[in-house]
Amino acid sequence: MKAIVARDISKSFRSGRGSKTRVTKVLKGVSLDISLGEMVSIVGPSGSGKSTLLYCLSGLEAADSGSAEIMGKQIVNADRNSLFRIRREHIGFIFQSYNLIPSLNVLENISLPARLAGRPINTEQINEILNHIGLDGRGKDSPTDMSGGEQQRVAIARTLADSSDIVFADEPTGALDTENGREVLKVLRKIGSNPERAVVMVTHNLEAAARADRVLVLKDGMVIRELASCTAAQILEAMEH
Amino acid sequence: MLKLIFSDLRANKATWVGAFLVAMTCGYIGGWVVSILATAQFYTDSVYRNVNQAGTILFLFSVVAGLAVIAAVANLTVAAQRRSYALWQLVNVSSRTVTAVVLAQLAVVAVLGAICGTLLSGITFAPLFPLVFSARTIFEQVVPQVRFSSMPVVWFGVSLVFLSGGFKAARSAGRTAPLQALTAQPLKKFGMTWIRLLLFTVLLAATSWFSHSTISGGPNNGMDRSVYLPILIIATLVPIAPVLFLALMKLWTSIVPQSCVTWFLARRMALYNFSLSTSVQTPIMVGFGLVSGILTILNTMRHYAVNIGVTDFNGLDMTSTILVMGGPILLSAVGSAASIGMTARSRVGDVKLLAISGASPKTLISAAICEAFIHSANATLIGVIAVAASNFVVSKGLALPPFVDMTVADGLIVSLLGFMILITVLVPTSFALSRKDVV
Repeated sequence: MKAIVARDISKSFRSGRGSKTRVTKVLKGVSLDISLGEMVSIVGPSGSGKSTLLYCLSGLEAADSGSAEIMGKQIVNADRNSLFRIRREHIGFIFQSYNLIPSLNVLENISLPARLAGRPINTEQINEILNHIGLDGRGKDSPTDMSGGEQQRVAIARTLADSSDIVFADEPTGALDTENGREVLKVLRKIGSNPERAVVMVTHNLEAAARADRVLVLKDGMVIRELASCTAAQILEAMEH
Repeated sequence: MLKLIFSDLRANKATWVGAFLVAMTCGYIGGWVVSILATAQFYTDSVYRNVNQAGTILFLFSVVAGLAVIAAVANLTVAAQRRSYALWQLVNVSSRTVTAVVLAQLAVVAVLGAICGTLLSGITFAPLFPLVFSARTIFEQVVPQVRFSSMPVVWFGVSLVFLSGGFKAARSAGRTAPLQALTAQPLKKFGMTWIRLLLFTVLLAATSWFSHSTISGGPNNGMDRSVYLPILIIATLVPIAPVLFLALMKLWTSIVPQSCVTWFLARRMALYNFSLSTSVQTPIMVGFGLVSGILTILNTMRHYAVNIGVTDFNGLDMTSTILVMGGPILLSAVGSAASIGMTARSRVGDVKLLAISGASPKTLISAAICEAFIHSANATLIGVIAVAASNFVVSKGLALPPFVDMTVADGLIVSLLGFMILITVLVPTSFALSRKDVV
C-alpha cells in the first residue's frame, strides 16, 4: 500500500509588506510516491525546500496547490480537524530540536500520542523501549534535565511506542554526536524495514541519507534526481550535477 | 549599551508590556497615596487625621499586593527572555554586562510605568476624589490637591521593588549558558531560594508574635489591629509559594482521574507553568485573601460586638472598602493578566507541540480552560487557608468559636475575576490553532 502519494505540490512564502512584498516559490510542483516498508531520504542544498516539502507532506504546512494523500486520505485543503485526526492516526514526528513537551516527563511524552488517541498505555512496552534506547529508569525525568542526545532518543521512543504508519524525521541527527546519530539512524532504519511503516527523512548528512532505500535530491523546489540503494558519494555527485 | 537596552526592549515589547502595566498600576495607586497625603497637609485636627489615615490605609493594604505582584512579574519578565540573554553571550557580551543591561531594562520600564501611572492618577484624582470619599461627611469640605513634586518618591519606590524583585533573575540571566540559546531549552524552573526562606522565617516570626499578642491581649487589646492579621499571614505565605502552592496543587488535582486527557494536560501544564513563575497564582491569592480575610475579621468583630451588646457596629463603608480592597484587587487583576500575556509566546509553542502530537483543537481549548480553573482554584484554596488561620487567631482572642464567622463569598468574586482573566490563555491557544500551518 502507498503511504504517501503527492502530485504537483507547490508552496510559496510571502515576505515584506505593501510594495516591498516578495513572493518566494519554495516548492514547484513536486510529485512522489512512498510505499509502506520503505525509508526515503530527501536531500538538497540549503533553501532547496526539503523541510517545507516534509511539512507539506505531513500536513504541518498547507500546500498552495496540488494533492497529497496520507494512507489514502487527502491532506491538501483538508479542514483543521481532519488534519489533526490524520496526524493522530497515522503520523509520528522527529525533529532536530527534539520538540518534547517540557511540562511532561519522559514516560508521559512517550505515551502522549497513545493517550490522545484514546489507546491504552502499555507501560511495560514503554519501559522496554526505554531500556532498548539506553534510558532505563529515566521515565520520571523531565526532558529539561536531559542532554540533547537523550532527548532525541526520547523523541524516537515516542514514535516507536506510537507505532504510527509514517515517521517524518527532520534532520534527526543534526544536533547529535556521531555515536548518538548512528543509534538514531539504526532505529529509523529498523522502522523503515517494517512492512507496515514508512520513514521520510530530511537530512544534510549524506552518510545518513545513504541508509535509506531511496534518496530524492531536491534543488530549487523540484526533485531533480531519484537514487535507489546508493552511497554518499553517489548522492553528492547527483547534487553537484 | 544604551542601544542594547532599548533595542531589546523594543524587540521583546510583548513581554515587557506586562511589566510596564504592573508598574503603571503601582504608580497609579502610589500617586493616589501621595495626593491624599498631600491633601491632608492643607488641613488640621480631625480633618487632617482622617485624610492622612485614608492615605496610610490605602498604602498599607496595597503594599503587600504590590510587593508580591511586582516581584513575581519582574522575575517572569526576565525568565521569559532568558534565551535572548543567552544569545547576547554568543556575541561576546559578558555575563556582568547582561546582568547590568537586564537591571537597567527593569529600571527603565519601572520608571516609565510609574511615571505614566502617577500622571494618570494626577488626572483622575480630583474628579474621582468625591466619589471615593462620598461615604464620609467629613470629606465634603476637603479640596483634593495633587502634588506632582512628590511623585518621584513613587517612581523611586516602584523601581526599587522591581530591581530587588528581578535581581536574582537578572543575575541568572547573565549566567545562562550560551548553549541554551542554540538548543532551544525551555525556561528554567524557579524554586525556593535562601532569600525566600529568610523572608518567610522573618514574616513567620512576626506573624507568630502578632497572633500571640492578639490572643493573649484579649478582647480589649487585640480588636482594633486584628484587621491587619490577614495581611501579615498572606505576606508570610507569598515567599513559600513555589513549595506550598505547588504541593497543594499536586495534591488536589490528582483526585481527578488522569485518564481524562483534558485534565491530564491541564494539570501538567498548570504545574509546569507555575514552576516557571508564581505570578499566575500569587495575585489571585493575595486579592482573595485580603478581601475575604478583612471581611472575615470584621464579621468576627461584629459577632463579638453583638455578644457584648453593642448594636451600632458598622464595619466597612464604601470609602473604606475602596481604600482597603481597591489596590489589591486592581493589582491582582493586572498582575494575572500581565503574567498570561508575557508567557503567550511559549504557550503558542506548547500548543503547537501538542497539536503535532495529535491533540485536537477541542482538547486543547478545554485543557486551557481547565488550566485557568486549576490556577484560580489553587490560589483560592491557599487564600482560604490564610483566611481560616486569621479567623482562628482573632476568634480565639475574642473567645468566640473559630471559623463560624468566615466569609469567602466576596473573595470568590476576586477568584472569579482571576479566572476570567486567566481564561485569556485561550488567546494564544486559539492563535496557535487558528493557523493552518502548525510549524
